[in-house]
Amino acid sequence: MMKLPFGDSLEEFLDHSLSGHVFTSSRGEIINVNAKVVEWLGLSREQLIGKKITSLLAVGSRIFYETHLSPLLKLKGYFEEISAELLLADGSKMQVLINGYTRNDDTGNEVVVCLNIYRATDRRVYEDNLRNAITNAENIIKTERELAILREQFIAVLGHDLRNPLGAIKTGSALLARSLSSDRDKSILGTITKSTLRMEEMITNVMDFARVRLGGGILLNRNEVLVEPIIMHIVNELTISFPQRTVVCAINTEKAVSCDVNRLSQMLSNLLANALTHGAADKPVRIIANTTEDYLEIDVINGGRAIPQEIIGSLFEPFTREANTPSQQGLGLGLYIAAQIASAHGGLLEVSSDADETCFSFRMPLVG
Amino acid sequence: MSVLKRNNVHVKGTGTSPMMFAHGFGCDQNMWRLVVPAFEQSHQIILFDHVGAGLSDLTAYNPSKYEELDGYAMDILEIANTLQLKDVIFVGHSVSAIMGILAAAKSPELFRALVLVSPSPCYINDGDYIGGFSRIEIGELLTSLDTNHMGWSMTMAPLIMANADRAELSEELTNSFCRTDPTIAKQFARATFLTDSRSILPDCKTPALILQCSDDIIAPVSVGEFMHKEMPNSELVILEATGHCPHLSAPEETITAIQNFL
Repeated sequence: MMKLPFGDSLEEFLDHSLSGHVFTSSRGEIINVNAKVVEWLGLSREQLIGKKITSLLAVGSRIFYETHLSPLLKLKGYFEEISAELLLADGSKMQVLINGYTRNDDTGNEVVVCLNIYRATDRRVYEDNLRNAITNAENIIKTERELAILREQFIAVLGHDLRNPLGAIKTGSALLARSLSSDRDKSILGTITKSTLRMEEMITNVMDFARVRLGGGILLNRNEVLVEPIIMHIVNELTISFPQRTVVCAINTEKAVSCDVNRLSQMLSNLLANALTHGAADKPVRIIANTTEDYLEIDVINGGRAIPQEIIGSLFEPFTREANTPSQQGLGLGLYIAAQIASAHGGLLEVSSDADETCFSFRMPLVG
Repeated sequence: MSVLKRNNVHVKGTGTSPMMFAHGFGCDQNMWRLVVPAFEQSHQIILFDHVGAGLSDLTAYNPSKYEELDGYAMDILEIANTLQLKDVIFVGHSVSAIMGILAAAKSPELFRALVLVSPSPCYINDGDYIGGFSRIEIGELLTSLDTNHMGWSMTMAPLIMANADRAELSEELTNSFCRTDPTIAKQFARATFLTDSRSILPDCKTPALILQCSDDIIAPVSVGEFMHKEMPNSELVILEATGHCPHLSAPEETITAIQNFL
């Protein structure tokens, strides 16, 4: 075997080591140390022998040693990778990692504790930086969350407060409608009424959005109802606004459904209005509704160009609308809220779109 | 969640007189393994882990409940009541000794005697009172706990949650002692080392044995003497054993002292 350049004895080998070695009695009194420990601590070997191992540790490590490490040595016989701080003769501290284990000595019963100590000052700086980064990140997330809640509360309050003046405009227009006689005035009032309704819808959407985001979610007032009259009512209502368009219905829903009639109407109205607005003008919009054994399924289908790929993935996200179109479409909350209504019913709203047609499919369990 | 599962309670022994063992900060019920066999024939042994330590149910850890030692004392009473124990001999190590005093002050009728191993009602020096540490030093301890994971690496926690019922895994866990969730360990350290329970000592009328080691940096002899002076029905025994855990370092001496007292 090749002779290693450390001299002949184990002591010489240990004195060459870059790590510290300390041997103590089972009561924690130091029996021997290697040269590295002497160098680190700034105390001579003679000064160290007989001292308590805990007296070499900074106070935090000292308490940890007595409450956790000392029991581990008795119970398990070893501990590994423990981060600690040595207390040096000049009063400064040095970060180390310690492995410790117990061994019986020559007499077979008295236990010797062996500690292997590694300098970990760089490692500790690195770990401290990681810990600080985590703390910083957590603080930023906390601040951002608080800001987000504040913003959404602002939206909720704004939406609510806009309703009152809008209500006054609505009432005023209704009163004026009785006394206006000229066609020009009636036409102006018609525009005012239409805009008021559009604004009212936007406010409702904004408030629904805030309600969902603030954690309340969409609350349902469920009843066992037949769906066909609901669908027909929505169709009749919207074909008044789109007199030149055809809506073809294939409804086969004889089973009662447990749902919130107002919310379901809101969702269907949104889907049908979208289909009429965005679908090809020369093709009919189709509504296919069925109740199966366990589910209610409603498809709203329009012809025309496909929804662009870059939009389709985020279609049900809030504030989504086709980037280059004017604000004529509103806030881009309609489909988000429709999807929230579907999910409040335990159901799902999905979309498929190709060059021929676009289909929004709603599916919910019959029993809530 | 049952109390017994929450605190990983184990009941054994062939005797009828109940003897309840509570571990201190930094460890779990395993630390009683050298002492318990001496009492198994004569007593009913109750072992448990404080919530957050050992194999207790971590999901039951509620930071506001366990912010102070009262929360832990409530658990001790709940375990005793669930098992319908009477005339309990409570053996508590370190901070658990104080929890035992708190529990006995709340429900004195449940307890026959308290055995307080290396107890301290207050670790921080205050005027004439020598607890052993300054406030700054305790702060250093809390910081140093940040740098150790106490055997609980981050990847392990979800593993345990997901496989709670797998026998081989829980056996493996039983083999690793004194495991403590690091966040909880820090809060437990705060509850332990910042506590000042000196004022409740005179209210404890339950017979109490105070076992203090002759050289313990965590709870010096002067603290044992202070407790003995303040507690009207107490006995003080200074053990030859050194360190903070005589039940591990000198089990025979500890057993003899408890037997003499009982």
